[in-house]
Amino acid sequence: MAARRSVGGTIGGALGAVPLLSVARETAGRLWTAPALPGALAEARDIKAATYLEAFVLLFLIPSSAFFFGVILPRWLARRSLQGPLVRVAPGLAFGISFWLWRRGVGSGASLALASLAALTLAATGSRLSVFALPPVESQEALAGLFLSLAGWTLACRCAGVPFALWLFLVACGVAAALVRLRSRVESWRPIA
Amino acid sequence: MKPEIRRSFSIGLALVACAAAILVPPLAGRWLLLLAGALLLIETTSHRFFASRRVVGLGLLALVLACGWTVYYQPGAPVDLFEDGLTLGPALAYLQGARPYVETYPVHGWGADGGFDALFFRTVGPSLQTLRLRRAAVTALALAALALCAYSLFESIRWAAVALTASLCLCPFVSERQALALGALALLLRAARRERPGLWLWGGVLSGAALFFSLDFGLIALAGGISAGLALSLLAKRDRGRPALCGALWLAVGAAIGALPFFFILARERALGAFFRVSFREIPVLVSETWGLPAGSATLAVRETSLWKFPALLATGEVMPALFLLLLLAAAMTLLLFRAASGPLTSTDRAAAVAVAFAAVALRGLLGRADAGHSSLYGIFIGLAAAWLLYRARRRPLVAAVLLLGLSLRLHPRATLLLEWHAIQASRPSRDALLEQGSRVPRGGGARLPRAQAEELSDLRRYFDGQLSSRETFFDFGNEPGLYFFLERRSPVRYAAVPLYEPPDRQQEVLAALERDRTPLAILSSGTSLDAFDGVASRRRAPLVAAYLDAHYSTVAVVAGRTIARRNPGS
Repeated sequence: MAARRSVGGTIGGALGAVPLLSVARETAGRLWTAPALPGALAEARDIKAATYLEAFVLLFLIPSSAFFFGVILPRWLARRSLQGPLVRVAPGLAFGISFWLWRRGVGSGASLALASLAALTLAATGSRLSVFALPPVESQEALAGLFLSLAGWTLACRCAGVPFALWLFLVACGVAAALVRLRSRVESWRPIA
Repeated sequence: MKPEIRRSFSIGLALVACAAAILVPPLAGRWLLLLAGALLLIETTSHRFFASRRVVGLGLLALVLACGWTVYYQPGAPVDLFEDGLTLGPALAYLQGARPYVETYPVHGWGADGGFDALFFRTVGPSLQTLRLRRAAVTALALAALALCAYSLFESIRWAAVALTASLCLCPFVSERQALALGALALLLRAARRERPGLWLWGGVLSGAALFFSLDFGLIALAGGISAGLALSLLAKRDRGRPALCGALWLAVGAAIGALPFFFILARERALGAFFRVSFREIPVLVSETWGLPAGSATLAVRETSLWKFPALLATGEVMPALFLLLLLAAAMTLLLFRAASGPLTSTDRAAAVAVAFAAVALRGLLGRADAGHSSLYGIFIGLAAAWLLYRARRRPLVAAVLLLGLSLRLHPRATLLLEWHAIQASRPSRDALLEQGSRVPRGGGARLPRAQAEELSDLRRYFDGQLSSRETFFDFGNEPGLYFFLERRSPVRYAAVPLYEPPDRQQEVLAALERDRTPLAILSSGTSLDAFDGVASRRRAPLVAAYLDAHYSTVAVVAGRTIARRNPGS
């Protein structure tokens, strides 16, 4: 049972939910107003509900997200596919990207949506594929070449002024397309698996 | 009697002798310490060391109680005319027949804001000494209850010491208001460990009673207990596939039993409706708005701080002081979820669920008025959760080291233990010195006040007695409700401080009372920081009352720093 936990997924799940803090504060700002009666809160135009909602996110939503990506999803994936560790950890790590995006200035909603999409894609793919079904990389040279190409392409994107979100979207599309292609290639394996 | 049991009693007896030595005069204390030393010597030199956990636990509890008493009983300390006044003022009003919640406005709870003291005032006599004796006893009990909580969580003396230290790091000096909630928590922790309905019921009885002693802590006990009870019963049902003991139900029944006598008294006083209105509708809104302090923004702290600076931010508490505690609690919550997912919870985990639920509910108070005092008051419950995290990490050296480092950086256990140590050992000399240097005041009983403060109160009393007949009173706009007690005058309004009547309708109520009574004198300002809570002047907080005072009163004197005004003739 314990082996089906995923530390990477847990951390990714927890970090990925952190932008919900922004969502909480913005929601409170829309629903509540600063106190009308004189006091330190009114002076600071502080909305206490925003603090309470942030606490709710920290205490309930982030642990729940960590639990979902660290336990529930890996177990579900393990039941549906072969025992690939990367399959179990990938959706959580993908969801963790939202934290990075959010800190880089992407809106909380957009970062959560993008990361959820990436996590969902990986989870959906992972539910049908095991990491062992991925074609083996022939050599370290080939892997290095792949990463260098990606880095070069990223650099070109930055030089051309491609917005960060668009770059990420393109990367996500590329990954999704590759995974779909892989899935079609191993479709014939399923009865055997 | 078996020799082991005899020896076990000897160590318990030694601890009780130590506790007594703290309380009795030094001469008798030395003999007691000699006895304790001899008992300990016998214990340690016996061929096989044996001590029953229960007997040692009871001895330690007696020691904690004695330490609590000696630290908190300070009959010569200065009186806080606001904080102590919130108790003394209403207690005097109850003595004069005021109805709770109708003619008083207990913001902390009926018992804590004078109700409990009125009982003692009736039997022992209304004096500052009565308050101090009663408060020291209840606060010492709160400390003992905290120690019991720490023990009930682990049922191991070693880990109880860790939990108690962690809790004291967060709240070095407990408050009497925590007493019943901590008592309830101790019972509920044990109830969760042993799954005994009777303990849930008794925990509920204490929680129900706590509502009437200290409203916020009663609510913490009720909400924390019920949520933990529900969660634990759901988990137990899942694990065993059978209907489980619903702790929440027993707790609710117990709370109803605990609250029943108070409901009866309030109904007899025709104040039951007012109790519900004030406690559950008015105070939650009012306290948040007028007493609230900004707690900072977690969003800002996490988003704008560079990652390498983040640990330093957590350690120093910049941007959001409570963030470290929130993260600690989030870690405890996550761990609980993981433990629940990996099979039936152990007894310690079940108890930890109760501790975490209490800490989570108490966050409302911690984040509401986010200053150091309230952080201590409500953050105390997080200490138990922190100790449980350490307990769970004990077999993973790396995690334990990181956690220990983080906790040490933020909670300063060494400094806290030294502080407690000094507070205990210096309490008797400090008490004796204060009593020797202090002066008696009217209504002080055996208590004394520092000479300067006693002189201030005597000056004020002389002035007011000279200006007012025995049936007349004054209005305090300087947020010192304790003056009503020391000057032996009733309060013309039911509110103890300006922030409590900030809403315009309540300001009108105050004006109506002043108009009805034609209150001859008013204290316009205390000349202290109490004139501007949190930097917001009382005149800005209650502009209608300030305007009324300006229009109908003229300043006549400044006595002991208080600006006193007399009602204009004919107005």
